[in-house]
Amino acid sequence: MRITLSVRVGALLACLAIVYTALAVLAPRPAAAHPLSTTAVLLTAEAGRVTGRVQLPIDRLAIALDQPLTTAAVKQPGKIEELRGYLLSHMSAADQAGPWVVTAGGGAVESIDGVDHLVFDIVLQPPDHRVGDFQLTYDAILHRLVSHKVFVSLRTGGEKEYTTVGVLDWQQHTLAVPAAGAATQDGFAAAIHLGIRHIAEGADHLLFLIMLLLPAPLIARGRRWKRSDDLRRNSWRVVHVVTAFAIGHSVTLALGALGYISVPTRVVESLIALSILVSGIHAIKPLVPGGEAWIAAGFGLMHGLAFAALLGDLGLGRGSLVADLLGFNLGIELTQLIVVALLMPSLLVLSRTTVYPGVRVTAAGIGVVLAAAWLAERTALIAVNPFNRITDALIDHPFTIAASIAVIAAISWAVPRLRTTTVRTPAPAGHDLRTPATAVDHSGSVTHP
Amino acid sequence: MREHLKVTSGALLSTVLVLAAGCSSDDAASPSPSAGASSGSARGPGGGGPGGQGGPGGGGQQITAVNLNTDGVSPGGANTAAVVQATNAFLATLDATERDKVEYAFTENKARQTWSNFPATAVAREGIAMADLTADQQKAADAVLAAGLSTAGAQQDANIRSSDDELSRISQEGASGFGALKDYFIAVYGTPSTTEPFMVQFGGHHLARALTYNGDKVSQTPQFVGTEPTSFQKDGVTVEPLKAESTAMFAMIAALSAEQKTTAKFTSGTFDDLLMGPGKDTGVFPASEGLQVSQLTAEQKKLVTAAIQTYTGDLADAAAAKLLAKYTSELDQTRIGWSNNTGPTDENSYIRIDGPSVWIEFINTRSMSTPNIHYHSVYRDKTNDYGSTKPS
Repeated sequence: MRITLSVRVGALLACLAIVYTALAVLAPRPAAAHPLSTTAVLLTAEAGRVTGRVQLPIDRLAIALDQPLTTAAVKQPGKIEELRGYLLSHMSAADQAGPWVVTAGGGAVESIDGVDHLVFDIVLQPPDHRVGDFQLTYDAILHRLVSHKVFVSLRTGGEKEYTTVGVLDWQQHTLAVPAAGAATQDGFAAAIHLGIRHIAEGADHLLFLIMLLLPAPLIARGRRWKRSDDLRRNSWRVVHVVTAFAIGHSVTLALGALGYISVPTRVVESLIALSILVSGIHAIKPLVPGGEAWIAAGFGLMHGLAFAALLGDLGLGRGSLVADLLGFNLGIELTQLIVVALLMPSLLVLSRTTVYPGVRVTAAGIGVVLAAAWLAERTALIAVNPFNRITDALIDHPFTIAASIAVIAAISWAVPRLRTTTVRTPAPAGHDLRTPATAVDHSGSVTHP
Repeated sequence: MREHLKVTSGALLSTVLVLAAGCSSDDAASPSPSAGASSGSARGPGGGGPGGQGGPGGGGQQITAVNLNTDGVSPGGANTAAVVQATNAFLATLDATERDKVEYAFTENKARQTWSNFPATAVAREGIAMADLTADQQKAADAVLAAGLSTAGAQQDANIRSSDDELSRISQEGASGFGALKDYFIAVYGTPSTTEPFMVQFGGHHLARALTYNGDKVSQTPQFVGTEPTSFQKDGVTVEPLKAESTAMFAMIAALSAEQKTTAKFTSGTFDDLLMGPGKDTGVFPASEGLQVSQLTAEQKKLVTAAIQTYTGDLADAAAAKLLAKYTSELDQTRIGWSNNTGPTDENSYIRIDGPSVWIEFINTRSMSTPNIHYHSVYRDKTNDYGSTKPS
């Protein structure tokens, strides 16, 4: 019985690992294209406006302006101003309603595929605040370096990848940008998409959730975590935590988006970092025994404020606020459920092995360190967060991480010596869930000191 | 003790996992993910350099099908029968699957217009790769080109293809896209015939041949030739695939007086690559500028003719002679000019010959693959590209 079960669980975990790995591999990756000295105009159609980035290769800019421009020279404040003026004098947008207001900000030097580019942030504002198809006229660099090419790409606010609209060159300085088609997605579906994207890319929200899930298969006994083998109870705790977090952030998301409450961003961001710190410590040693749901709900209020600020920033909700709010929140909840589905099977299995205390403490420790760094960064104690690269990396590889955890769980489960045998909290009689715990036989194959 | 070990092993496993996730991101490392990702997918293929996988949905080089008719203006003299025979002999070496890859309807304009100065990994070519053919099939394919081209033209193709082997050898970064066999493709449009139009398309990274036959008439344009590096050793012999073109073009400008040179310098702008490269098939050419050949001495005019001959002379001799005669007769309405520099190894040296029919551009350009400049050159016929008059 024990062997067949362990084989089955092992096979299940192996399958999960394969699926996650496949997802990680098949997930769309940006192609490593190698643009040699071309300009890219990257546009994002949003509600009421089009934002974008213009990436100008500095060596080509030097040719076009007939100046010995270097990266250092470009970085001078006066020079950036001058070049911003140059860009604006070579770019315009218009639709049937008339010319759009074009503004440019930023002006940072970025190395793109090994070539230094001057990157400006642009905003194109239609006169009637309706984003429709428009004509983009652009000839920076091109007006002089006639063999230059300018790649114009477009995406909607809900998309990550850009689609090429066309190439401007000596034959063509004006291009029709089909932003209306992109803007029609602006609405309920786009809001869902946005919600998914925001939480999937928001390392802090996910980390908070994970910290709360870590002790879900455990039960607090005084100041220590003890294993709980009651699958039904553990599952209910997961449901409680997720629901409490959802209720918490939904309340403040709604209040914030409707304009009833407003908290400075820095305070909200700092409190979110604090929430991870607290839940991370709680995962190591129970601070509030049985209180994960309350932590989730309480700090969920803070996370909701951050969601509301984002919703406002993106200019969503001008049309139908309620639909956008619902869609955005739905996206967030869906992503949370995906995270739970990806992680909980592995955590539940791991919790039945003796490595779980180590895994839990390490994961919680990482969470605490990252949260502390965020807190320091957001309260302006430190200028640069040394862990940003790590968090970006973690966020970029969600399926790899989930797969790795599944692999660890499978390996741990496959080593009989690591499997726990004693059931400390017997399942209540009469429940109909066949949990692995009740099926595991209690022969003393694992020795305890 | 044992419990401690287990806790430690769990901690180790977790740490490894986090580190692994952290490290694996390094290959896609970019400080701002959105900027990095966007630039990758939003731009085109690599600029002649390796690693140019025009991303999925990435625009890269845009080829828009134009309406190609069969009314191109050709002075004739085509050796159509010999090309038909060689093409049929090549097709006979292929099995059904291969033939399906090679044979296209003559009306597939977009495919006919598909050529590039990027390797096939960046801009996929039509037809079948030479690497996918047996040695005998390759020989039959080469025979098609040998029939359509002059000895010099066929030799130039071989040399250009060698330059891609050389580039693959010396290139610092992923040169997997280059090679004399894997980057060169052949396709046949229409049924080879001495009376009906058909086209043989051959090319790869730095070569595009479009030989369009219509009875006695023939077109060898658009013709793109290039080489990176410009000169290299192969089996102890120096190979310079564009030696004839570069020598003649630079000699033509070098022979100008200081005053003529000033008049010949372009004022409309500056250049770092060709204007009438791939995809520029709408029949719209830049406004004419530069020095009128009618202002040149007889000796200088000879150098212009000699430069044009290095392009027209790629075609089988009889038709090439008729074509050169036509362009020579138009010399007085032709202009030549230059921009940036006039030396064969200078940065962005750009030279153009622009007549009523003939259009030749030559430039010293750059890639990320090698430290020196390399050559790109395009030859078009304003009244006969793809055997077609100006597209509608």
